[in-house]
Amino acid sequence: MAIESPNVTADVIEASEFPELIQRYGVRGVPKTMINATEGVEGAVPEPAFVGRVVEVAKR
Amino acid sequence: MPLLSDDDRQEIEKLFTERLTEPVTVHFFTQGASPLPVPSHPCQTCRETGDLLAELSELSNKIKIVTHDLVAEADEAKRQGIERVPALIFEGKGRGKVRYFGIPAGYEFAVLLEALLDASRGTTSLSPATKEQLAKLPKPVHLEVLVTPT
Repeated sequence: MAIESPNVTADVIEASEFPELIQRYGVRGVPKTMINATEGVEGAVPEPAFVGRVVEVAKR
Repeated sequence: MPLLSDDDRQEIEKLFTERLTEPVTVHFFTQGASPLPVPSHPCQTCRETGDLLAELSELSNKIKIVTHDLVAEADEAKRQGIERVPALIFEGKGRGKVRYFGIPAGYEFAVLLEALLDASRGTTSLSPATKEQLAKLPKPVHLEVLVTPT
């Protein structure tokens, strides 16, 4: 998504190297995706549902 | 000892020849080159990540690695929003920003290869509907995908 949109920054984070993030985001399983550090999406989600969540958060 | 086996190298070289069609620069933020190490933040995987990138860049003349030290180049790190290492920023034809934190080993190695290919070409396999939605994003969005290598 960050390849397609100038408005997206996408980070992949190897969680075990940064335990402070596991704590901050309450990660119990992976993958977990945080949108603007506030909205958590657990597991693999179908593309349309995921982009829907992203747009929803961006509108706030 | 190299991290990639001969078989891996051959496979990856073929992949790069076929699909890594445009130049891509990887900005690699690391720690340890500085004479003043930060004892509270030892980077366990920086050296291995650097070695892996060096081996990959040997397999395609389209890949350029630029190494930055988190401490010695604090201004550049701040400008790029890098607070932890190892960190990779993929700079190619992509419109937004794609970054990787930690060592891309195990299953995540495939993610590294995909990031290189996508950044190189600036295209993805996302559906037209998704692209349309993304084009209408009203504000910047920061996605953080937390993963583990196994």
